[in-house]
Amino acid sequence: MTRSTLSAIYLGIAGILMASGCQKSPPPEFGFDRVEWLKQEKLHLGDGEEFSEDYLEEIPSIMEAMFGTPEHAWFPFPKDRQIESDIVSPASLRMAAGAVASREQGEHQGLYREHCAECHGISGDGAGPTAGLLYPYPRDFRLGKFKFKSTPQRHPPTTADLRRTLMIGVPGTAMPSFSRLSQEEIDALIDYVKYLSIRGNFEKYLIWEVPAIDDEPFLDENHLQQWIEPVPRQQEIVSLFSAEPDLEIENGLAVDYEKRAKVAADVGNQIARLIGGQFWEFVVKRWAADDANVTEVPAAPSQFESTNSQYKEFVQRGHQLFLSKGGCVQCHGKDARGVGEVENNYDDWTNNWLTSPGVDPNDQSTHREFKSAGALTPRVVSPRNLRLGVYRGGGEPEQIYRRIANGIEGTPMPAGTALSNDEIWALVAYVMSLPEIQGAGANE
Amino acid sequence: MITAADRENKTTALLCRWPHRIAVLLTVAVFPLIWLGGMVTTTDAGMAVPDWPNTYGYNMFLYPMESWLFGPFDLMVEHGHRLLASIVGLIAIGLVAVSFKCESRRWVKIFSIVLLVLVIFQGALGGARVLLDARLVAKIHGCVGPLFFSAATAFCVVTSRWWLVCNRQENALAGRATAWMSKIAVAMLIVSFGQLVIGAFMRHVSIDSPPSVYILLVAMHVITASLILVGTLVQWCLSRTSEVRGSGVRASVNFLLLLVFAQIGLGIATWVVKFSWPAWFESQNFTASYVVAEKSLWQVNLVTAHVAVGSLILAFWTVQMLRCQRSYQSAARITLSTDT
Repeated sequence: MTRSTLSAIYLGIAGILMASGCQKSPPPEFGFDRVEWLKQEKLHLGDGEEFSEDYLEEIPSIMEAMFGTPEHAWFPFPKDRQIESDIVSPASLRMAAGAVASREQGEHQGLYREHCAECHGISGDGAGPTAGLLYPYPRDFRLGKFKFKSTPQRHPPTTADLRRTLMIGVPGTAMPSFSRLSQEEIDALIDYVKYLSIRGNFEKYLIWEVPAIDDEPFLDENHLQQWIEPVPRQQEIVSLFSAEPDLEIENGLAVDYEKRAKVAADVGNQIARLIGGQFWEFVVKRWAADDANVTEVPAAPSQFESTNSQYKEFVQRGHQLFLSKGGCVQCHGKDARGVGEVENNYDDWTNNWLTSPGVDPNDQSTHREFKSAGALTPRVVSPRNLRLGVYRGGGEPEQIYRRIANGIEGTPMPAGTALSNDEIWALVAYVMSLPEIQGAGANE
Repeated sequence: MITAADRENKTTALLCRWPHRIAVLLTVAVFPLIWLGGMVTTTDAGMAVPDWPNTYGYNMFLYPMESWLFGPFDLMVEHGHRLLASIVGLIAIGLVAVSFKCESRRWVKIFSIVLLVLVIFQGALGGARVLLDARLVAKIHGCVGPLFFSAATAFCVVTSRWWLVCNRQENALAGRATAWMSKIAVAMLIVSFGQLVIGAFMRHVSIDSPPSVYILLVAMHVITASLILVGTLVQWCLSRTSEVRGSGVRASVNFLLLLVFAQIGLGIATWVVKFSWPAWFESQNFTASYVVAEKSLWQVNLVTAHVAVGSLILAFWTVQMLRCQRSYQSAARITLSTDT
């Protein structure tokens, strides 16, 4: 073992490592939504039938024309309109996309890959490399659903909602607090999350459209040629830090952003017409509304204050609502510890494919095809143990009020549409009193 | 059988302690270098300086101190890593020089060259990692670092006084337990390095790899950690037997056991500060309210400590393996010479 053997071992291992390759790894690509593809095949075709494979080339091409690549993320910014840049700023995209790098002055590039992609995945599908071991699974942005927000269901979160989640994190989960990042970096990440959500949503729309267009291509070839010819696809950016912000260089070719914007907008308009109306407008306006859809929280009644003489009755009223009209007891259980009668609920991200024809939630053998397409193993949702006094979406009374009023999007927690404002406040008072009851040892 | 020539060689070697001293200096310098390298990955500082071997156009050694020390944290870590690596390279050159001047054993001279080649290779890998921005190169760079640390430690052992006088020890090892200890030490050295390779693949996991890859890596990491724990415990039990005396074997295995326990604790802490508590603990208030803080002081240092202690375990298994091999061989030789 000693003498020259020792030297030979060290040199040998080094040689093997050297031979294993000093080469530049190819840049990551946005993955195609194969789960949605498979789901639509199951919905629209018979056993063993498949959609034309031509779409597997055309859809990614359209997606690239509209949204660029992970190295060079792009968003259709029509020149004469402001609405798109209000949702996603070009500067934010440049900062959040691409490979991780930083400048001498400390500005960071590739923020999404530095902080988010490991869990949320390069395309925001919630299936990054670490996702399988995290509980709950990281959010898949492509459904456009977000749990912790101030807006009702089917409305996107506000910028402030996303900022809150990024700054504070989600307690008890792998979602960290990014409070050490600068405001500019947080803004860039918020915009990139919106970008991935819109991008993923758009891809789903295209896949949903495949059964309807009857083996015809989405676009006439000229549109794609127009896109492909001036700038060859899959090119690497030579200089990340071009002095001219709107002009970057791809393998020596200046990228004309105006032209790119025009082509992307043309493609987008054609897609919008194809899908039947104002698809792009709908997506964009949905996100642009921002604060307009925030649920107003009425002032809490005086009994809500614990110093009020009627506070105990108010809490008791909340308890009764919890057990009856509110329906909370079904999932959260009588003692609010999260063990109710309704079990085996899944969230929407899982139900999205678990409800496909031929898939039985209890028969794992029917999940195989979807899992090989990229779906994560289904996990039953656990209702919150309210006795802990820890709320993932924030523990302020207004935040709990909105959660009861709007429900939690994408989860079995429904909106309390049948409850009056006072009743919701009574429930808030009861929920917020639960940790104290636990501390006092009350088990009733 | 100890010959007169052997004795003469050893006396010459004992007269010149410089190779050993420089090797110790090298090993002591490599540990913080590994720590700093771990910190480069933990803080994603690998591309904080986009050129190499220069630093933002400056000769690495002439880069303004105020820009380095008072600039962005990732720049400080990356440039510091490069400077310390250069110092390690210079020490390795010094080691070759003194080995050729003082050392009489040819294979030790060759070993010093191997160390220099390794450190140059590691530096080139560091440069390639920056210039190519390649994940695979980063993985290899993360594996060669501990390998060099282990090699430098081995050099310290083979140039130590203990190594040279080992044959004269009265309490040399012999017997069944020590034979097993030698075998286990070799196995543990290999397994410990394998564990570092798995760790490097986890740290630099490709962002477009499916979740199943990471699940497999974590499972392998946990299984390998269990193997190392069992191997170290068995080694510790064997070292308690009466046939093992002297030679520092007991001391190093005691320290190894402590390190392995500390490393398991650091591994758990690494998971918690990166991904929060596992779901089994969700009913506890302190785990339910725990918020992971991205790039916090705790996160950066605990994760980096886990990486660095992994290398330290590899280095101590190197010491243990060499001590067992040497003592066992010596004992066999003594037994042989007594028999004849």
